[in-house]
Amino acid sequence: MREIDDFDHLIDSALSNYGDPGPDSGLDQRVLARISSASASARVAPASRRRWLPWVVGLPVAAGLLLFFFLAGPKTASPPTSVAKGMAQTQQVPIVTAPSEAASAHRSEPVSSNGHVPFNLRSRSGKQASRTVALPKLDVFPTPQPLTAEEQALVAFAVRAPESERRSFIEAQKQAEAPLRIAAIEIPPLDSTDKDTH
Amino acid sequence: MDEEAEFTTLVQHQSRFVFRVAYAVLLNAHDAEDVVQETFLKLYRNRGWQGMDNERAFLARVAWRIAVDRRPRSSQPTWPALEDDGTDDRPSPDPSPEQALLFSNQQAMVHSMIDALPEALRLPLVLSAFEELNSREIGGILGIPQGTVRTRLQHARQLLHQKLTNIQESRYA
Repeated sequence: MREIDDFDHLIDSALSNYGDPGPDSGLDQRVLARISSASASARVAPASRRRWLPWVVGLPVAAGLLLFFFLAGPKTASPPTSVAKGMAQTQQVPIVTAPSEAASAHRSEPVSSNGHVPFNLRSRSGKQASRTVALPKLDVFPTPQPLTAEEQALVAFAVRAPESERRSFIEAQKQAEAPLRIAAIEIPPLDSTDKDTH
Repeated sequence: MDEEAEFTTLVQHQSRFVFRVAYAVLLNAHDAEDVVQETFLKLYRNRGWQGMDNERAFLARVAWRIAVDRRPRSSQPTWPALEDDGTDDRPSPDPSPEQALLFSNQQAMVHSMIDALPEALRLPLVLSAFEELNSREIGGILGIPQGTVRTRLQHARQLLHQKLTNIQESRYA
């Protein structure tokens, strides 16, 4: 029993100074020195941190502006694939066939089979589109067309026929164009004697 | 008393205590001093030392967490099952009788025995030796129930008793 008490006493005394650096180790002074140096560097640090602040704010703003101008700038990007397919299917038909030299010299626009200008060509650029719209005026409007066979026969008759025939032809035309007149229908009353006989 | 003077007083009074907590985990004086400096630096930066209810328990908890974080992964403790028969398959860390005779100082011998204890037993034992830390506070620091602290304390003392008895018997044999 006495041995157990001795062991307990030995263990307690050993525990009391277990891992103890000792009062004269200067541990507290080293800790305080470390903290003072750390606080001093912390006072200097904000200045160096502030040096980065404009970059931290400016770089994202500049990147955002660049992205905005890139996306909102002139639409020079290549057409989408679906539009490109539609472009491949269109026929290269000139849209303007003006008789004058100016009109014929004008650059022809490709159109699709239904006569519409493809979307990708319309949206190529605003200035180019306005230039194609400003077509030169025609000398005669509507565009003269060749005479039909009936019209050519009428012209030949007017040139060759004598004056009397032409007048009679005109009169006949006037009569044909005159409004129709229908005479009033008169229905006589039925005879009563005929009724009695039957 | 301004804050700086108050903090200086705290460091002067508690730095040795924090060192001992860190040493109990790391078993290395150099690493333990690094933990002390890191502990007080952390408290100084976040002003955490101003609202301490139980000064020693708070400091011990902070120091213990920092020390555990600094401990190499390879030396993570394997918590022994205290309900077993107490046998350990590892090589016995007990000093042989010849080695024990070499210890001129009995306390140094007990210190080496404490170092050889598993960390699960060593930490409660060392923390219990500090003043003003009861089993409830030790359990709060280590994150274990109060009853487990008492069981581990008893187990640790039994192991130390057994080792001391073995050494004494070998001396008189």
